[in-house]
Amino acid sequence: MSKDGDEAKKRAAKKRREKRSPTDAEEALRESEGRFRRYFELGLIGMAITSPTKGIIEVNDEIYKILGYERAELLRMTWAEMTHPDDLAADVAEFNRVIAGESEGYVLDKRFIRKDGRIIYANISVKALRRADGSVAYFVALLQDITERKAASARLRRAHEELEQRVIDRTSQLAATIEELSKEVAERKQAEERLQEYEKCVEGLEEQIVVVDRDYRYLLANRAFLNYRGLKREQLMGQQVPDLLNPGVFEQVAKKKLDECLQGKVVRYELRYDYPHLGARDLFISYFPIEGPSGVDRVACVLQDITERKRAEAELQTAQAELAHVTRVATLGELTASIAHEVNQPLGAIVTNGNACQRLLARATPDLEGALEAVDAMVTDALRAGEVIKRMRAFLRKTVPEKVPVNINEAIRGVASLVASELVRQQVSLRTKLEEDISPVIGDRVQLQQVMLNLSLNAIEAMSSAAGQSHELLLSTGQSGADEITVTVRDTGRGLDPQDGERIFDAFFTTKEGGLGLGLSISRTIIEAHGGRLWATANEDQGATFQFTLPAQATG
Amino acid sequence: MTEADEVVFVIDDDASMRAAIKRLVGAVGLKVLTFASGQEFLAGHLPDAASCVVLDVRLPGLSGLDLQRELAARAISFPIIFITGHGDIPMSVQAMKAGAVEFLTKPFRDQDLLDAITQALAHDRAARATRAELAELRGHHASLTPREREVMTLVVAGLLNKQVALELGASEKTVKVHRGHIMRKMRAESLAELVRMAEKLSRSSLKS
Repeated sequence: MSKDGDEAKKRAAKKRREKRSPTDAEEALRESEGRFRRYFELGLIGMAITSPTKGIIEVNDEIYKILGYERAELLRMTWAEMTHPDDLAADVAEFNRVIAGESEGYVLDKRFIRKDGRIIYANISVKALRRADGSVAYFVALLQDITERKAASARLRRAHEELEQRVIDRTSQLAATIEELSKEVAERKQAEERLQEYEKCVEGLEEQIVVVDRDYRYLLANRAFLNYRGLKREQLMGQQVPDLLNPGVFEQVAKKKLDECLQGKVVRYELRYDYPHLGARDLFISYFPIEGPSGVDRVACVLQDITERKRAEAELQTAQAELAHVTRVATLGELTASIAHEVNQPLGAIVTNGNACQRLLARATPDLEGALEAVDAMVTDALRAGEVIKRMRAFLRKTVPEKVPVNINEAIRGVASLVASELVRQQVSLRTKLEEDISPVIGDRVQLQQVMLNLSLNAIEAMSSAAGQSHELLLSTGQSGADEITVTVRDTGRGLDPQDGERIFDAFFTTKEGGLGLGLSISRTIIEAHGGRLWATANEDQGATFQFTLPAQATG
Repeated sequence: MTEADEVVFVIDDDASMRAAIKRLVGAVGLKVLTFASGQEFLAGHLPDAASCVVLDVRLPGLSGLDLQRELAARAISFPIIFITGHGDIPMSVQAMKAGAVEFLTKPFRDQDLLDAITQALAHDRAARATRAELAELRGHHASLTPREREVMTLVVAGLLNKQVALELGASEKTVKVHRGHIMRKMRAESLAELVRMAEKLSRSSLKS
C-alpha cells in the first residue's frame, strides 16, 4: 500500500464528509455500511465477524492469508479450534465477560495454529454488537499478524539482553582489573616493606655481608662489613676485593674460593684474618652463588666472626684434656697395687739373680757361665721394669689431644698389658677378640686407651665383688660399618642396677667405694669428642657390656 | 735316702723370677724343680725325698693360699715358704696360721730365702724320720697277737704282772711269757722304752 494512495483516500473521505448533509440519515447509514464493507474488503487487516457461539460468520481475505484456511473451511470452524491451547483460556475468559455484558470488547495478543501447523502470533481486537435486548448479536474481530513484530521484538530483546550482558561482563572485567591492580599495588607496597625489613635485617646483622660481581667488584655491603673495615659506604663502592684484602690473601685464598663459587658451588671455609684495626679474627666464610640472566654473575659473601667461639672451644678442649688427665691419674691410682707388683717382679728377679751371681763367682772355682747368664737375666729384667715405667709415663703424659690414625687393636693390647697383673690379682681371665684388618680411627691414642682402661677396670672391679668362680673379661673389636668400628668390654660381674640407668655416665656418680665418679663421665666425653657413642647394656646371663663406636677411616 | 736327693720346688708364674730363684738355690748346691702354676705342680710327679715349696702367693688360677689348702687336704705336708710381690699382712698371717714356714717379700735377701729353705728341709727331714719311725712302730705293733696287745696296754698303763693276770683272768706266768714276746716283737730294751713307744702310737692314732 502506497503512502500517496492513502493520502488520496483521506482527502476523498474528507470531501465526502464535507458534502454530507446531517438530515440525510439513511444516506449516512448506507454510507457507513459501505465504508465498513470497503474496510472489510480492503485487506488492511484481518477482519472477521463471529457468532456468540464462537462460530465464524464472515472473514475477509486477509484472514485466509494469516490463518492459511480457505474461506469455506473457516466458515465451518470456531475460532477456539484455531487458538493455541495455551492461549485459549485467556480469550475465552474475555469472551465470556462480553457475553455476560460486563464488557463490550477486548484486545489481546494470542497465538493461532495455522492450517499448515505453523504457530503465529496475532493481536486481536474484539468488539460486540448487541441487539436491542442487550444480547450479543455478533462480534467484529480485527486480527493482525504480529508474528514478525513479535520475532523482531524478541530479536531486539535478545540483542538488548546480549548488550546488557556485555555491559555486565565488561563491568565485571573492569572491576576485576581494578581489583587486580589494587592488589598489585598492595603487594608492591608489601614487597617494598619487606625489602625494607630485609635491609634493616641485613644492616643489623653481626655477620658481614657483601655481594661482589665477576670482576670481584663490591656491589653491596652491610654495616657490619663496613665497620670491620672501618670504611664508609662510598669509600667501598667501586673497589675490588684485591684492593681491600691483605696482600697474599686474595691470590692465595679468596680468589680461588670466589672462582669456585662463580662456578655455581656454595663454598665454606675458615680463615684467620688480620684486620688493620681489630687485629686477628677467626672467620667462618660462606660464598653463595647468585644467578643472573646468563648464569652465576655475583657472589654473596657471609663472614661470621667465630673468634670467641674458637677461643671457648679451645678453652673447653683444654679443660677437658685437664680433666681427662686428672681422671687418668686417678684411674692409674686404682692400679697402684698392680703396677707396684709389675715393677717389683723384675726388681725381685734382679736382686735374686744378683745374689746368685755373687755366689757363683765366690765359689772356689767360679761358675762364670752361670754368672753371665744371671747378669743377662738381670739386664732383661731391668729393661722390663723400665718398660712398665715408660708405659705409665706415656699414659700419664699431659699433652694436647692428638688427631692421628690409631689402630684400636694395638691400643687395646696396650691396655691389656696395663691390666694384666690386676687381672691375676682379681682372679679374672682375659679373652680378646680383635678383628683383623680393622680400619684405623682418627684420634688421641692415650685418651682412647684411657676409656678402655677405665671400662676394663670397672669390669674387673664388678667381677671381683660378684659371686661366682670363673670370671672373664672380654675385649673385642669389630667393624660395624664401612666407616665405623665398635669396641666391646664385656664382664661377668654383678651387672648394672636398672635404677641407675644412664646416671652411671653422670659426673660424680659412683657405685664404688672411694670412686671419683668421673671415669664413665669422662669416657663418654672422650668418645663423643671423637665422634662416637658410648653406652651400657646388662647381659642376659650375668654382668654388663659397655660398648662404644668410633668413626673410622673407610678402607679403600 | 741322702741329702743329695732333697729337692726345692719353686712355683711362680713369673718366668724370670722362677729362673732367678732356681739359679740362686742351685748355686748353693740344692736341686730345684720349677712350676708355673699350682695345677702344674699338683699334676707333676713328686720325688720321695725331703723337700720344701717356695710358693708365690699371687698366682693365676689356683692362688698360693689355695694350693696350700689343697696340699693339706691331700695330706701332702711339704713345708711352704711363701714369697709375695708386696707385703700383704692379712695374707701372710693366714699363710703362717696354715703352717707356712716363712713369708718373704720380694725383693728378699738371698740369705733369708736360703735360711728358710735350709730350715724347711731340716724340718721335712725330721718329719720324714718321725713318720718312718712311727711306721716301723706300727709294723711291730701290728705283729702282736690280740692277747699280747691287751697285755701291752695294761703293762704300759703301769700294772704289775700280778695285776695284769688278775685283770685278764690268767696266770702270772702266762703274763710273763706274753710280756717277753711283746718286748722282743716291739724291739724294746726296757719298760720305759715300751711306754714311750706306746705313747707315740697312741698320739699318732689320735691324730689320724
